[in-house]
Amino acid sequence: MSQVRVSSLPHSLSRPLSETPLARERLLPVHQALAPLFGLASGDLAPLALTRGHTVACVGSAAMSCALAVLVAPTQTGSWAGVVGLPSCGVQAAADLGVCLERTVFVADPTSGSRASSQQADAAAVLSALVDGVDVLLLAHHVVNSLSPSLLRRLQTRVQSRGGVLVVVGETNSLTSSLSADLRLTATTQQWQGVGLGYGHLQRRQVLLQLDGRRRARTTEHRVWLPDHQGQLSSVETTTAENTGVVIPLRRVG
Amino acid sequence: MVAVQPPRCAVLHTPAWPITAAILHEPETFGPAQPLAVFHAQRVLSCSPVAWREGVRPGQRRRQAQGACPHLVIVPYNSDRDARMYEPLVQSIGTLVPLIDVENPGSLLLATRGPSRYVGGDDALAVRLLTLAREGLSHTSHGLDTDEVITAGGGLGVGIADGRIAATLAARSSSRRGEPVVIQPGVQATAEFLAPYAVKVLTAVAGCSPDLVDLLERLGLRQLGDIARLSVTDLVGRFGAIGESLHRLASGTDDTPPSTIPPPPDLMMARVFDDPLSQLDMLVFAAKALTDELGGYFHERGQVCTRVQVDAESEHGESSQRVWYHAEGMRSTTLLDRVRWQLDGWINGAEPPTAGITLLRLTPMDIRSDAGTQAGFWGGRSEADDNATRAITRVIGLLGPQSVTVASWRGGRDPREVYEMMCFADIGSADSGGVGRQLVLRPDDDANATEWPGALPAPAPAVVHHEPLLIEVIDAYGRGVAVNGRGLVSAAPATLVQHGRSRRIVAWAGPWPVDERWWDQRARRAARFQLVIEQPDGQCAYLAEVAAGKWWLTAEYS
Repeated sequence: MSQVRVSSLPHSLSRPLSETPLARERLLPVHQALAPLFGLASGDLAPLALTRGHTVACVGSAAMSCALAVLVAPTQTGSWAGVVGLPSCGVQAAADLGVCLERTVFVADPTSGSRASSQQADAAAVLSALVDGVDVLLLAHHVVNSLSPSLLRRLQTRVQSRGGVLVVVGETNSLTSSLSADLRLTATTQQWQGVGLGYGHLQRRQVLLQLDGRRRARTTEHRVWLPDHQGQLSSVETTTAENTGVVIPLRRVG
Repeated sequence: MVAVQPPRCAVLHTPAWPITAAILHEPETFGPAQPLAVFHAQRVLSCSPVAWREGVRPGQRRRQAQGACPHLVIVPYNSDRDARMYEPLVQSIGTLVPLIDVENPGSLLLATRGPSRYVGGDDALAVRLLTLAREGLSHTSHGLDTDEVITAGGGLGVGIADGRIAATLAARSSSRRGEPVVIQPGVQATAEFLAPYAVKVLTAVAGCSPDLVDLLERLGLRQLGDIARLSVTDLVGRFGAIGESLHRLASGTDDTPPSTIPPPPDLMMARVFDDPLSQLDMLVFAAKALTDELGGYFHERGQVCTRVQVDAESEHGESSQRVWYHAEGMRSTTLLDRVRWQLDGWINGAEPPTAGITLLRLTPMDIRSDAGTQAGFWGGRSEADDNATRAITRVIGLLGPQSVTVASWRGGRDPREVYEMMCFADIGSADSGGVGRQLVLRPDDDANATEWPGALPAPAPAVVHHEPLLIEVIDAYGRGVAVNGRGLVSAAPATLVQHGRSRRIVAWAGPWPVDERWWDQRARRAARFQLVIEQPDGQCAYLAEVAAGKWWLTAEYS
C-alpha cells in the first residue's frame, strides 16, 4: 500500500504541531505566598514562577501540604492535575488550600500491580498518558523509587516536551532512584499553634520553606502559615500585623 | 446587500427514511402497515404515518410513544442500514444526473440547470425524478408494493426552487401533498414562498440550534418573513455572525455563506492501493487516515469543510462518485461516516464492483471558516479539559475504571469520609447530558458548619490513613492512656509508641468523643485526640482515636 499525495499539499501539514512558545507561556502560576521564594513580589494574585518542564521535589516534614500548595494556582487557572499513588492524600486539606478538585484526578499506583512482568511497561504507558493530558503531575516518592532509571529519564524528557511539571512528594531513595530535581522545596515544620497540654486544638502551623536545586543560584527562604487557621496558605510577614493581639475564636467541637 | 441569485436546485426528500430502509432491509420483520418508530438515544427519531395517526411524534420519549400507541413496533437505529438502502435510489437518479449531493440518507440535492433543459423544464424534471426514485426503490423492494413502502416512509417529495433552503422546504411540503412543488425562479418568488414558514423549520433544514430558535420566538420573530424584513445590520448587531446567516436563510438569497472560500484548486487527498481492497473494514481503515489528515488540515486553519466529493475506483474501472454535504461542517469523524456509507452502499449494494478498490479520493468542494466551536469565556470546555479527558480515558483503559477517581464532597465527622472518591468513568460531564453521577465540589459554607456537629475544625490533615495504623499512647508512668465511658482521659498522654519507637508528646488536645450510627451495623464509638510530637526535623501533628481500648493513628498533619 502506498500513499500518493496527488496534489502538493502545503508544507504545514507535515510540520509538527509544537512551535516555539513565548517565555510567559513556559511558566505556570504559583500561590502568591510562594512568590517570595522565586524572588517575585507577592502583590500579584497568581505570579508566574514555575517553569514548565521542571521537576519539583517536595521534602521535609510538611512535604504533603507543600506539594498540595504547589497545585493550588495551576488548578485554579484551568490546568489539570494528576495525583498518582497517593491514596492517603488529604482531600479536605487540598480543598481548603484552594486546589480545584474538579480538575484533579487521583490515579492508583501503576507500579504496584500484581502482574510483575508488565508492571514497568504499564507504569510507563500510564504515566506518559497522564503527562500528555495534565499540566501538573504529583507522584508519590515510592512510585518514583520503583521506576527504572531509564524510564524515569524518559518520563522527565516527556514532561519537558509536553510542558508539564512533575512534583515528587517525599524523599526519594538516592541510591536506587536517579531523579534529578530541578527545584527542591524543603518544608520544615517550625511550630504548631493552638494546642496545649490537654486544651485547644491545632490551629495553624508555621513552616519554613527553603527553595534550592540545580536551577537556583542560592537558597531562598520564606516563612508561611501552612495551613493557617482557615486551612489555607499565607505568608507569615503579611499576617503578623493582623495577628498581633488577635484572638482566633475557638469553635465548639463535639 | 447584494442579492445573489442562488443556483436552482431540486431536492428529493423522504421524511421518514429510516422506516423505509428498515422495511426494505427486513421485510419479514417490519411491514408497511404496522405502526413503526425508530428510536435513537431513547427518543423517537422518525415514525411511520400509521404511528403518527396513533399519536406518536418525533422527539417523544420511548415511554410516551408506547403510551400513545401500545402496539408500536420499535425499529433499532442503524445509520449504516439507512445509507446502504438509499444507495439504489441514488444510483437510479444517477442515470439522469451525474453529480448528486446526498445530505443524509433520505434527502438528496442536485443542480437543475442541465437536467431541466434536457428533460424539458422543471415540472418535467420533477416528474422524472419521482419515476426514477420509484424505480430505484422497486429494485430493492422484493415483492413488496412499492407504493406501500413509500407511504410508510412518509411519501416521496420533490421540490425545485432557488437555493437549498427553499428547495428543501418545497420538497418537504411536496411529500405531504403527494405532488411535486416547483417554485418560480427569482428572488421575489423565493422570498414570498419562504415568508410564512415558522422559524422552527430552521432546526431541521439548516441545522440551527433549538436554543436559537426558541430565542427568536421569544423575541416575536415567529416566521421566516419576520426575520427577512429586519435589516442585516440589526441582526448582526444582536446575534453576531449567526445573524447574517439567519438573514440569508430566511430571505432565501443565498445559502452558501459569503465566507465560503473556494478551496485551493489542487486540494485533494487520495490514496492508491497497490493491492486492491475488497473488504469494507480495510477500506474504511485506509479511509480513516485520509479523513484524519484532511480534518487536521482544516482544523489547523480554523476551517471546516461543508461539501466534499468522494470518489472510489475499482480495479476494473468502475467508479462511485458522490458529493456529501453537511451544513455544520464535517470533521474527520463525520467525514469518515460519509465515506463509509458510500463504500458500504456500493460494495454491498445492488451493483457491487467486480474487482477490489484501487483508488480512494476526497475532494473538498466548499470550505468555510469554522465559527462553530468558540471556547467558553466562563466555564465551558477548554482545550486543557479535552486533553485531560482524553488522557484519563486512556489511563482508565490501561488500569481499569476503579483506579482513576475524583473527589466529591459528601460530608462527615471523620477526615476519611468528608470526601468520597468516585470513579471518573461514572461521572456525568456537562456535555453528556447529565448522564451518570454529578460531582459535588464544595459544600455551602453555612451547611459545612451546621450540618456536621462534631466534625473537627479546620485545618484538615494533609495525610489521611484509610486503614488506620495501630499505635500505643502511654502516660508519664508508662501506663496505657484510656478514655472512660463518660469521655474522660485516665491520664495525660506523654509518649507515643509506634513500631516499638517511642516519641515524646509535647502537646495534645481532646478527647472529642464521637458516637455515630449507633442504630445500624456501621456504628462507631471513638474518642479523637490531636497529638503533637517533637522530632529532630520539627514538630509533627497527628490525629489519633481510641476505639474499644485501642489507639489508632488515623491522619497526619503532614
